[in-house]
Amino acid sequence: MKSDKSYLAWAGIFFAAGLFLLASPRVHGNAKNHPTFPSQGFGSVEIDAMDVFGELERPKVVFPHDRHTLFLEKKRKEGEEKKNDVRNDCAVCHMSDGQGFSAKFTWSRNMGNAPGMGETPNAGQTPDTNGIKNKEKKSLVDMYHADCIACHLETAVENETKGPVTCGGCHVENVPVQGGRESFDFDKSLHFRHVKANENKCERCHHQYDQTKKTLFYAKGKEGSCRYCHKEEKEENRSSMRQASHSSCVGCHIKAPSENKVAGPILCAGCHDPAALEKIEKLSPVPRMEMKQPDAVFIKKKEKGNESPKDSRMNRVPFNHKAHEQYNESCRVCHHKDLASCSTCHSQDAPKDGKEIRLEQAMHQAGATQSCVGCHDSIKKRDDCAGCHWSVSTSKGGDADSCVVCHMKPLKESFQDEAGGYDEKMARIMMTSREKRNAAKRLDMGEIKIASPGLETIRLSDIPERTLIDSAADKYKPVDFPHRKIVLKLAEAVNKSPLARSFHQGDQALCMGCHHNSPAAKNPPGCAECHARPFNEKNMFRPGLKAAYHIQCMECHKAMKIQTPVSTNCVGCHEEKVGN
Amino acid sequence: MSVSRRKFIGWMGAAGIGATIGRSSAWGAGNTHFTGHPGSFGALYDNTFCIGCRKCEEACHHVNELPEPKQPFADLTVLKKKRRTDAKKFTVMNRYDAVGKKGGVAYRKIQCNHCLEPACASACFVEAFKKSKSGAVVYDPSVCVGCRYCMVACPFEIPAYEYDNAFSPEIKKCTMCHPRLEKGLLPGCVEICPTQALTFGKRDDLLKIARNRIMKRPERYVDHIYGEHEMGGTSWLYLSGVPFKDVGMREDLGVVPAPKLTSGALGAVPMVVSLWPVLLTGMYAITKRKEKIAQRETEAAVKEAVALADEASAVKLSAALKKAADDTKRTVEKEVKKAIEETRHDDALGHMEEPVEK
Repeated sequence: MKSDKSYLAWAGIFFAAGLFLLASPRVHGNAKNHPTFPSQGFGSVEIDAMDVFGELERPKVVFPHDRHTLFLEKKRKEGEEKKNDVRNDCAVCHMSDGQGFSAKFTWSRNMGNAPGMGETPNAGQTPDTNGIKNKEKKSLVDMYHADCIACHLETAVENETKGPVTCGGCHVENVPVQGGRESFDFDKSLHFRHVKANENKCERCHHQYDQTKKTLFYAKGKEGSCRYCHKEEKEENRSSMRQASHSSCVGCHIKAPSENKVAGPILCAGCHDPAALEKIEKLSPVPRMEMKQPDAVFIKKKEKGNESPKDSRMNRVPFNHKAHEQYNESCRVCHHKDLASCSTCHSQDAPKDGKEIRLEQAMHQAGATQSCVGCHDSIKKRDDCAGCHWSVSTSKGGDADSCVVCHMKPLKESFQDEAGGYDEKMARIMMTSREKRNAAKRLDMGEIKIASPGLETIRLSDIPERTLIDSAADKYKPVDFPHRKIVLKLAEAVNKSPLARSFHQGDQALCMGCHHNSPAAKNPPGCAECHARPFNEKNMFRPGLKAAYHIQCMECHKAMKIQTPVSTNCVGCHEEKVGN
Repeated sequence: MSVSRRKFIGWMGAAGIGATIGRSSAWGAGNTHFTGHPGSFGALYDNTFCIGCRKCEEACHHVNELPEPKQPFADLTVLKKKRRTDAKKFTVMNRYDAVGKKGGVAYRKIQCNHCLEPACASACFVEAFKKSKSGAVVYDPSVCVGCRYCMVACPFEIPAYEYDNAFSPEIKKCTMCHPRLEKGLLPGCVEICPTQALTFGKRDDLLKIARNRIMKRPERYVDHIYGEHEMGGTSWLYLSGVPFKDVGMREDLGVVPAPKLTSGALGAVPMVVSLWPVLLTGMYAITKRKEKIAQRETEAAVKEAVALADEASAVKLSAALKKAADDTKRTVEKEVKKAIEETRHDDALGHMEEPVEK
């Protein structure tokens, strides 16, 4: 039996253990003040090759890649001056196939069959990128230790900046790998600059894979985004996007200076540091990519044989391909899988296994960035649009009138079939007519004329100039609401955007940002006609009048980033009554 | 006064049953979840509409006739500090920096949450707190003894004590404007809110409104209605555009009502009080009796042992005596025999030399 004393002793031990656990969270965490890693900043890589072996005895090494690159660069220049033939380039660490370097780190010094520094172990062969995983843990450990330390010792002898040679020098706990590393996007501006620099030689980057010959080849006219094939993770023998881009981009950037060309960055920071990204030159406007893409197309289901447009129940949508090329940063925004037309994958016929996304869904899916509606919705979040659209339902696409904006009635024009095909020509004509109509709809601050049938024409004089809101008249003077000024401000925002011009069919659409939930009309109902006493159980979702006014004004100002008057400044809108 | 055995057993039985009943029906903490009185009221605070104007604080002071603060309500610099409610402030507005939110700030209104199963009421042993049918948790100062257990019990740190009132201090907190509700008026803060960031209504309707808002604008809200289940549910509900912990609201409270957490232990109190003396006395008596019996048994055993020992020694003695007698006898006989044989031998020899007559 245990005595009381022994229970007390155990309790004491557990308490002490608990205190110890609580009090010892990562004491070595302060990497900022660590002598070996003065300021890691950009260009550090966590060596995670050992992850496959499970838990490790020591913290993972954070390798200052950019510092090593810069050091090698310095050594190389010195070597050139001294006419030294020791190569001081990436091959010191990276395996090379004689043409480029494998982005994956592979030692060439002690592990391969060519021991000399800078020699390529398997010249002419494809680098063994699976190498690390297939190696024994011990040999891998030895490889890192022997090679890192050997190099650090060598450079130390030459009285250079000395790399660490002790365990704790490299294996440091909690070194931040990088702060705010941006993933790099190769946009159309950069693409154009590369096209120009490479004199339209697309084959320098673009390639296809021949399954039977197991080689890469170039197919003219079939160029696509890298990401169509190179995914996040490695697939079979297809390298990951990360690996492919590093070996291709950096590999080319290294070679470019020797060919007397302006070279892109070779340091990590050059592509991944947000500050560096901002410095990359951007063309505006970016010249159009030459891919023989159409100016205008019909978005339509895949035609089998000689189907006529009449077979579609909805009117076919003419799509301004050329304009949308300008609006987006890359083809991948819409062509998310390959450069084929939408209906290649999104069929409108009965689904084969019920899993595919049909054409209708692909075009109307709210929240999907590749769909028409999804992308247009995201534009409605811009400051100019958000004032009204924060409250106007976005997912439903508004009223039925908005359908015909895209699904236009076919024109009865006849013309000779010409190059580019009947469809392209027809789509172009329909779009031109729409552009014309939109242009006519521009609100000339003088007379507003609209051609939309069924909607009344609104003239400037029809819009009340000022409105007095006096529902809080007990405490404040009536609010002098500059009604016309606000309408004109909204009209200006609509005029600026071709998208907005297309969709604000009647000018009444402008009014409906505030005069919502009632049909478009020349004299829409005022706020107080629907909003009254708050918290009406029969109508619990409708705010009371006071809240309706305040929410409408304040949320619009907030969304459009209009700073004045400040919401909490009552007298900014309500002039106080004298003697109150 | 003498108590008959029958009466005593009766009392004990009642106490035992009382103890078990007390466990399962401790106030409002039965095995079914109490979701509030049907049709009870509440308020929904939606901080995405709140502009931090402090009008709610002003109205609260006005309707509760609280002393005017040093800084006027229009002075919004007080929002720089994180404040809490006290005996002179039943509600406060706090401002927080909201990372990644348009405008960069988020507000939080603090007042009594009017729990469906209030911790203050379960901690109060004089029942000064009561959850009324209207939804308000109301306080009766006439019975309050000033123990301040309610202040310890409240997970939201709401009840405040009038420390500066030496003679008749009371607990102070938001009443959900219970007196105004009875007159058919809205709570002061709700009535004055310019943007209807505060919605008043039946709690069930408020939940519908809150769910509707989240569904209609999922990007605007955190997908959670604070108070729907926190601490078993509260009459005051919250919607937020930023994580609730970012506006200083506790997310570690769980969904179990406070009384349920304590009812187990508190339910055992009557049992302990009534049954333990009996149990201990009984145990004492039994121990005592055992001791007595043991003593008696020891004595008997000793006696027996002594007796047995006496008997055994007597037997041994007699055996020894007998053995001694036998030995003597045997020795005598042996000696006699020996003598006779010697004699015979001598006779034989003599007979050879000279016959001896026998």
